[in-house]
Formats: sequence, C-alpha cells, structure tokens
Amino acid sequence: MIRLALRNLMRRRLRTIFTIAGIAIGTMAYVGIVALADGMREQSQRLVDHLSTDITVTRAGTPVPWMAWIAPEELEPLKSLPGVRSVSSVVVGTTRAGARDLFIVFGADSREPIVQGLTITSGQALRAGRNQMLVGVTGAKQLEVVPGDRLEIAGTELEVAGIFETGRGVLDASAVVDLPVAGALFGGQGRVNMAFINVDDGDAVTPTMNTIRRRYPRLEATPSELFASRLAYVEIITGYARAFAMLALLVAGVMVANTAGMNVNERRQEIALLRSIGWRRRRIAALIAGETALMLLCGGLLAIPLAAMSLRMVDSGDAAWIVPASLGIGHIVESLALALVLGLLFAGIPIVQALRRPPADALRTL
Amino acid sequence: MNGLRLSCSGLTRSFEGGLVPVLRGVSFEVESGERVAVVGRTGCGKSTLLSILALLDRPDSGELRFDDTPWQSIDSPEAWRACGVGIVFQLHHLLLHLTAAENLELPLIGSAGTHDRRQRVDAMLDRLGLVHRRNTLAAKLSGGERQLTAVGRALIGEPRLLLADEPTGSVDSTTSKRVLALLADETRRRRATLVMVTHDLDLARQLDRVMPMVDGQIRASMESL
Repeated sequence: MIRLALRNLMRRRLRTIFTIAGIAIGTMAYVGIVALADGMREQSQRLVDHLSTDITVTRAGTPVPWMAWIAPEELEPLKSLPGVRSVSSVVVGTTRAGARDLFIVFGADSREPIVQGLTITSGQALRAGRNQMLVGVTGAKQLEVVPGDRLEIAGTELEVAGIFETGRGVLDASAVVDLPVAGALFGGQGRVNMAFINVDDGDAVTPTMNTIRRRYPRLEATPSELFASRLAYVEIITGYARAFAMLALLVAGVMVANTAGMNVNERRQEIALLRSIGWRRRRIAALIAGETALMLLCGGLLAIPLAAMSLRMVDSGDAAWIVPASLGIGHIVESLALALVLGLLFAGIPIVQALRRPPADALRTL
Repeated sequence: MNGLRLSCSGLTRSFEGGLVPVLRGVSFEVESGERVAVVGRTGCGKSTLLSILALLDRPDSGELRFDDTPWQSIDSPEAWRACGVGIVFQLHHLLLHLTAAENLELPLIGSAGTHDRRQRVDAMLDRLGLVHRRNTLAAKLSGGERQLTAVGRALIGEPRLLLADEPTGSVDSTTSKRVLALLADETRRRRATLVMVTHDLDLARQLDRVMPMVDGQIRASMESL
C-alpha cells in the first residue's frame, strides 16, 4: 500500500512537491511562532530563576511589570516583614544601543548577590557610583564591545567594565548597571520596577505573600518560580501567537484538502475501477489518506530544520530575548500531530464524496 | 469451486429520473459454469445489464439472484466482487503509472500475502505470455498487451463469475482471438460462469449460448437482432 501511495504521489510530482512545500511552510510557521511565544515565557522565567529568589514583587494590576514603577518607600516596610531575609530592587529598561534596536538594561545594586553572582569572563566587576556597565557575552558580541570601551545608552555614555556569562539567553544579550545609574538612565528617580524577596525558609513564602497582598494592595507578590506564567502580557501575546500559528496550519490544511480534492476528482475512474476489482471503500480511503499522510509527514519533517533555521536567524537579532533555548520536541510533535489531524480532516471531505458515488457512473464515462 | 448460478427476472433500470429507460424487464438464467454471450446493438442496454450483474449499479426493480442469494442480501458489493467476480471492460482501464505486474497484483492486495501475490502474478504473466513485460509500465504496453493484462487482472482472483464487456472491442483480430481463448479456457478449466457482452455475433457463437438483447429486453429469437 505504501509503495502504491508513493507511486501515486510521484505520478503528479510537481503538485506533490508544491503541496509538501506548503505544508512545510505552514508547519514551520506554527512551530516558529509557538516556539517564540513559549520562548518569551521561558526566557522571562529563566531570568528570574537565575536570581534564585523566592518572591517577585511588582506593581499590582500591571500587565508589563517593567512599565510600572514602585517607590522605595513602598518596598522599605517589606524588609521588616517576619521571615524576610532580603529585598533586592531591580530596574528594567529598554533602549537602542549600537546596532541593536532593542537592548535590555537591568539595574541592580552592585553590592547585592544579583550582581555579585554574575560570572565575569573578562574585565572587572561593577564599581558603585561609577557610570559603568557589565555587558552579557551575546550582547558584547553583537555590539562589538570589550572591557574599557564606552557605549552610549539612553543618551549617557557608560564604560564597559566587564563581560559576563550566565547561560541565560535574555541576560547574556543584555547589560547590567548599578541601580542609581539605571534610575538616571530611565527616569526612575529612585523608583524601581520589580523587587525580589528571599525568605528564611521555604515555608514562609505563602504567608509572606499573603501578608504583602493584605497590607499592601498596590503591590503584587508572586512566587518567583511561577513568575513567567503569571505575566499577563505573555499570556496575551502567547494566545495571539497560537491563534496566528493555528491560522498558518489551517491554510496548509486547506491546501492539502485542495490537493486531495484535485487528486480524487481526477481519479474518479481509478477509484471506480478499484471498487470494481473488489477494493473496499475503506481500503481506497486508506490509500488516499495514506498519500495525504505521507505528504504531511514529509512537509512536517521538512519544517523542523526550516523552523530551527528561522529561529537561529531571530536568535542573532534584536528578538533574542524571546528565542527559546532550543526547539522543543513538544512543539514539533504538536505541529506534526495538528497538521496530520487537520490535513486528514480536510482531505477526508473529497475522499468521502468520491467514495459515495456509484462506481458504474465513473466507469460509464470511460 | 463451481461457478455462480445467475437468475434474474423483470430487471428494470432507467436514467435521468426515469426519462431514459434502458432495461425494460430483463429476465434470464445462467447455469453454474455456463458461458453465455449477450448480443445486441449499441445502446440496447448490454453494458447497463453487466454493471448490474457486477453490482456496480442497482436495478430499479426486478429480481436478481446469485445462486440463491438475492442481490439485496449482499452487504458489501466490493467484498463480494473480491471473493469471486472478475470484470473485463471494453477498454483495459489499467493504471498506467503501474507496471503490468503491479496491475495484476491490485485485486490481490489485502487478500493474499506478498509471497503468494508474487507467485500468482508470475503464473498469470506466464499464462498471458507477458513475462518479458513484467516490469513494463502499463503506459508503455501495446494495446493488445494492455487488454491481455486487463483479462489477467480479472482472472487472477480465480472468480466464480466472469463478466466481460466487449472484451475484444478495442483490439486487433489476432489479440481478439487470444483474449477470447483465454477467457474461454480459464472459465472452462475452473468451471466458472462467463457472461460476455458483445455486438460481434461470430464471437458470441463460440460460447455455449447466445442471448439476443433488443431495446432493453432479452429475446428468445436471434431474428429480432
């Protein structure tokens, strides 16, 4: 049967190639878009994970935490809550830098573990009170800077003190500056975008969050391990991305149906002949569905390297912060399964129509 | 295994919502292993009758039995054909993108294993005298070779009932003789029933019985032709 299906596909080589190409592009779009959407969540979470904190504090009700400010006096009382060991403040700013249209700059107190924990691969650590910056290894490569160079960030010239590497895509593509410097760069005037709390022991996380919510309703406390999944903007973007990705797959499905329709229509007499020599409708449907499945499989498999290539292209650009660490097997399996289900569903319509016709009708016209 | 016994009575079939009556009460019987020819002019309803006998089409009314089984009792006409009916069409209807062997193999797919299929295909190619054309695409076979392959395809499932619609209508006289000899020999050897539709009276007379068909009815006398 598989041999027969292959022979049938080879009979209309050009149509088969175009259909496979269409499926590959549709699947690639699905895999790519979904991977990027998930990558955004993944990278945000990896960033927070890197900081090894227990609770993340943001402005309540804001879908994008780094677009809202929190005043220092709002954070000050948190330090004296029972069970709280430390509270670190962070400013997150985006700016244009060199060839990068979107460059993320994190501001944190240079004496805090968040900054002290960074592995400096060349140059030296940040010194408080200086207009200095640490640049991630990816960012340094893209901006072509080395320690000692000067770089203009948001209209201010900063000295590159060192290069760090964390293995976290979003951090390595960004820069870190001292908190007061970040405040000056992005107009925070002492305010911050987020704060991270470490508690004395794991059991204190929930009571501490409950206390913050109760006493300080203008602040939102989230367990750091769930930070990315609670980001409303990520959910919105992910939702839209999945919808568009599904649309791409639907277009591929319609194309498969069109090809199957043309194939079935042109093969009405062949189908009638197969029925006349004793082929059951089930078997004929399986043959045509098998041909469709083979095209879908080829297109799906072709989509994997295409999606990986397209993500690699994005990875080296401004959008590196949303690129997942790797093209997950889940995305591939999901897209292949969806393409298969959609394709067979669409192709099923012309197949069923063709098999309903009495074979004598088609054979009479021979 | 003996051939199927056919009996039909008062078969009618019309098209275009009844405006074009083609079969107008066809009645006849064919004994098991008998080889009969239905002879008539173009448009008299021969092919429609054959389609109904093959259950490729349904009669509007009348009775049709295979042995003692009414046609309505046959749940799956495809399965029924697979188990004992071979059809030869006027045109070969081979799948041109497949080889001669692959075309012969088609009726066996699903009912026989790969090894068995290969053996039966080779034996049939030998009987057809087409061993040397085994792997030739049907598109590259001559007209006669195509029709012989089509006959082989109908015979390879060892049918109890063989239905042939003008099997020699599109081949030269030499091939015509080979086709007829093949059909006659194979049905005699297996005691299969043969119903052949033709407009060629000389060809029809080589079978056991000739049934003239005129205006959608089987007549008793040849004079009506």
